[in-house]
Amino acid sequence: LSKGCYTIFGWILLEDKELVLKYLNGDENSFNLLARKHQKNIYWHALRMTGNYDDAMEITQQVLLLMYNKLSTFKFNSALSTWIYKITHTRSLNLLRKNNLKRLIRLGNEHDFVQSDENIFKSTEAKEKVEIVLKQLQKLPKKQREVFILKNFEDMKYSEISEITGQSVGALKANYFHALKKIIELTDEI
Amino acid sequence: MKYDDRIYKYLSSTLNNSDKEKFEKDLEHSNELREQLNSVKLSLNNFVETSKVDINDTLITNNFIALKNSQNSSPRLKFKLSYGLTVFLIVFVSSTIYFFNNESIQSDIDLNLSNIDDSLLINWVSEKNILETESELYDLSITSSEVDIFTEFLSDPNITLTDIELIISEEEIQYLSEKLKINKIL
Repeated sequence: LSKGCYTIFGWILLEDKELVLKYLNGDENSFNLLARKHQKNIYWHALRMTGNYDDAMEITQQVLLLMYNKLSTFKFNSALSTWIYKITHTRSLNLLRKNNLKRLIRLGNEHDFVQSDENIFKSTEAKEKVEIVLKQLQKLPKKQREVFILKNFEDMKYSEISEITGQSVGALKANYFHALKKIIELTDEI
Repeated sequence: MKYDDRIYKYLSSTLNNSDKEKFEKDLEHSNELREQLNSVKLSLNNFVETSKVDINDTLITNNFIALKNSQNSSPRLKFKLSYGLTVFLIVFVSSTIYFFNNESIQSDIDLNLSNIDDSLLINWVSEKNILETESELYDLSITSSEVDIFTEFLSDPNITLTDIELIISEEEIQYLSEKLKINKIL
């Protein structure tokens, strides 16, 4: 089974690599395939981190554009998805910080929670479901939120999360403990 | 419902080996503990599954295509960022000196702009150059987009010293002062 998993995983990695190489050799369509493959993950990660549809969309565009411009610098020392998550994560944190700064100096751009009319969801019901989750996630401190999201929604191991967030595995475990406890308490209250 | 704290520790792998063994033994003998563990797992699973909904991914793609096509039509970006960086550096250095309005401290400032790392400046002035190499991904304590944020606020003519103090944290001052070689003021 593990050999099969490795083969499957290896195939997925190879697919990314092949697409990147083709794109770097001038095949624009390969980039479109890469974008289609990863855009949902980028969007979801940004949305869960920021809790705001517009911000998530903006981050997704930024990350895709950065991939488009900077894929030539990617050396496959890690999985492409880790590289993408790292960029998405940094962008999300920057945006959260930017919104906090704006709030601090009262420029009137409060980080309004999920007010966009962006029709990214295929149904109102789907949007409502997501809003419940987002509201709960935004109640977690940033570090707890990031480990909770990466562990549960992206199924990452502590070692992989550590690579993306720069936090030690011990710190991640402690943050995850608190995040888990808080989320369960919050969901029990619903 | 009040759950046993060990459940969260168990699920987050924060139990040490002996506590983990004890917990697993307790699980075998305690129905209540087993039910609590299953309940926590179920709540967590429901929470995660709730957000797994379909989205209109063509909207993202279409927006991106429009953005990609328009990216070469913004020659103002580099000028804007360069201008912003200049304003930022001037305001930052001035405000730091003003803030530490003490001649003895000022005389200790060893400000040597020639020591500024060129690559840092490149990263600052161009959003598109934020990630020149893969390794830079792992060293993003301050990115160009954050500097953009600062310049955005610092170029506001109505900004006050209090506002600047709110924008630049101690950590950021430390980072910038290291880059600018003005360590003695801190």
